Amino acid sequence: MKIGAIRRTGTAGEDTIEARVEWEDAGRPPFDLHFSFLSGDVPAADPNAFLIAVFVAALRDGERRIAVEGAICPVLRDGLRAAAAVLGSWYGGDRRMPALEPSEGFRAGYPPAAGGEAIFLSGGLDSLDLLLSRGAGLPREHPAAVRRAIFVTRCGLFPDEPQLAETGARSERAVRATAAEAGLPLTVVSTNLLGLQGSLRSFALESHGSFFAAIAQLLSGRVSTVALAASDDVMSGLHPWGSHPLLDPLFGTSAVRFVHDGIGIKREEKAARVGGSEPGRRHLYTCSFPLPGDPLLNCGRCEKCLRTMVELLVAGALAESETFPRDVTADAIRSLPGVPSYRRLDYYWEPMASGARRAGRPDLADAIDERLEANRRAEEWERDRGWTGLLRRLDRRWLGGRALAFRRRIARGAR
Amino acid sequence: MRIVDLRREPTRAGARVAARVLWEESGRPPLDVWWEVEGAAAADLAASSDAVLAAAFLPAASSGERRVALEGPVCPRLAEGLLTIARVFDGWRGTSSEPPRIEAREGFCAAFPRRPPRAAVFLTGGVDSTHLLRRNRADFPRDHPESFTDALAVFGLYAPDQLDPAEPFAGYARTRAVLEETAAESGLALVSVATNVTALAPEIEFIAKRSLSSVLASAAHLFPSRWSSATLASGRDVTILVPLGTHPLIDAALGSAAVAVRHEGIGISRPDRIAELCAAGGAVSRLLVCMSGPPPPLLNCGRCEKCLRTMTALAAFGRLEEAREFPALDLARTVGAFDFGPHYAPYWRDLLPLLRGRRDDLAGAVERRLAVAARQARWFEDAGWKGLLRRADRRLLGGRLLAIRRAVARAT
Repeated sequence: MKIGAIRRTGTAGEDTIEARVEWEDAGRPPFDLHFSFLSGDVPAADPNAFLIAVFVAALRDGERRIAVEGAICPVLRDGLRAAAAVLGSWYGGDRRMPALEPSEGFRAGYPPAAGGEAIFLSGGLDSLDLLLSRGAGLPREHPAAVRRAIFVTRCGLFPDEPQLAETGARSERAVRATAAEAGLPLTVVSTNLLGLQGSLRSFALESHGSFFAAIAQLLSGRVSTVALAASDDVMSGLHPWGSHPLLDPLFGTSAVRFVHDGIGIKREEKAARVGGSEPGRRHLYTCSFPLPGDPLLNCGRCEKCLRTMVELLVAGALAESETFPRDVTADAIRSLPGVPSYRRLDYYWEPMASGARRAGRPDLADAIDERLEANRRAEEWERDRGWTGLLRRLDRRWLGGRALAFRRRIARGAR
Repeated sequence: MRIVDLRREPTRAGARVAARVLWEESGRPPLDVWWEVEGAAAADLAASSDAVLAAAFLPAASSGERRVALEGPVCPRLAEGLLTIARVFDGWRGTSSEPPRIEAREGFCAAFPRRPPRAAVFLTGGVDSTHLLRRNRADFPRDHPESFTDALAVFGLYAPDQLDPAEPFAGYARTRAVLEETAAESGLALVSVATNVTALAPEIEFIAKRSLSSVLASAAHLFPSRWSSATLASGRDVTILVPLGTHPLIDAALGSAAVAVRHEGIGISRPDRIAELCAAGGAVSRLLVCMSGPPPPLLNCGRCEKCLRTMTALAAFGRLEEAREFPALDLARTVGAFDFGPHYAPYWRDLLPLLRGRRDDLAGAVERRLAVAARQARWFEDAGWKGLLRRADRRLLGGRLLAIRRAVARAT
């Protein structure tokens, strides 16, 4: 792979850094990768950012080298080597570390003398908790204080999907208000990077952290550290995931360290802290499927909304929320939509049943238990587990699926 | 737990920070903990609440203390990090404990890091820290904030009860001299700290699996005016990480707003680190890897697993003779008779590609021992047809078959 022609382009209020990515072994067409700052500030023309951006895709697709125009940080060189090992140990496959060939060699960049940190804000529970906790107790002039927020508005996947446009617009509205009230300048970034990664599944499982780390490097010279909120906590169990406390820091450089923050905080604790805060009450945004006519910021119907609502309810904060419906019904939970196949419903919902009971809502707790039981049965069916799964496997193997076909005919006849 | 009477006092050759630890729940007698420094660095030694907290928190948590109360101010970032660490251990062990509350009478207050920034590295003289130091010298210009300026060596960790408070460095003169040389060669000042703080929880297993980094970090927090970061060399590469007292998930959480703590080097395997050291020349001559404290004149015993593994790797590169702190011995014969067991087998297996074609005698010895380790692993796991028999014997015959076999073996 070659990364070259790194150049700055731009129009008024939109400064862009671009580079051409050419595949050498994977047989994929060239890709013009861009990052645009839509907030009046200027991205750094940092080759490290482009290397981080393409690395996971190059690794997965078997590129033997990555030749980059410019100098690369030796901290990143070592980090990428470790990242390749981490991803290889999680997902196997033929992930061999590509040779890194920077045209100007390996050279360590300098962090700004005054330091300063930035955080990614999405409007969701994790990032709002990060805003409230990171740098808490630090004076604003402290080099470790949070001085900037970053928001990614477009990422290059399904650019014409109206649902995503609506989600993006609502999320941006929430984040702009949150950052303004916190007194943080906001960098708004648009990129086509996810178009290079290929799929949402790959993004979720492999490249999620490196995606944000690449954007973090575009702030080199202005901040010394950028933090990304942890989505999972260590008590619930960390599992292979594209943003992970072992993986994310490996995508940092000596100029901009990249931090994965919050693995020690349970989701219920985040809900309590965020739900009880002013930005949480007024701007918390978690919705995956908002419709243009929805009166509130969050739809209150999708899995993520319902999950957050129950968490806020348990924390005693749902009734005060201005962005969610102020109650949850057991029926809504019973008809809870599923989650993508690479996520597990029980991972999120199992701890919430006891919380709902504690909060005096046994109806919700029972509904959660019922929904999880239905989910477990569905999973068993999908994975051919249990004695019925054994029967299905035997039927397929020895009877060519005739027993199942017979059973379905009888069921149809009975209806 | 209450930590009182935190103080800095001069000593004959430097300075000492001490505090009294009072247990509240566990009924243990009070303990005076101290850190002592000699030479010029003693001028920078500070009576830091953060230092005592970093060292005392995990022993307090494991002893069931409900709080750690300190008289001075505590950094909010360190306090948050310690709670995270307690939960990381919970996550690893599958437990759910309530970590001790951190109470600071003067409140939570973030100190500013020194300006300009300075970086220290923990130096043991072993492969990992020596390699990290070499890498740092190669990667960073001297004016870079991450270029190491100090090497920090901490003594007394594994035998706090054997330290003589009047002469705490007395048993470490040779080691210090070697570390001084290693540091000076890279243009670093060696800051030696002797401490008895592991007496709070002196079991070797607790130190290795829980507190090692927190104790080291406590030494780093004693010098906020001298450095703004301290880096630990990773003892393992990322493919073989296991829950231990030094780990990338916990080490970074031990930093404060004034002194960051870093864990570096997880991308590079130990054989690769040794290969780089061997290629660099000179670096191998002073390697100190032994934990068993051999009698003079050498600092590596040449008999323990770590010594033999390091010697084997050095031999693969033809550099063993230069490693002056190891004894001369018939390495192939010694390795061939050494039982390293299944736990260490992966490390030895990593050495085989280095040995083949260069030291086939050693490769053969390692292969034979790996075969023994594999048999031991199968025995432990009750694998194979013998394992099946053992399981069946235990389940159906209450272990009588095994007892008969042993009785017959004894009789014959």
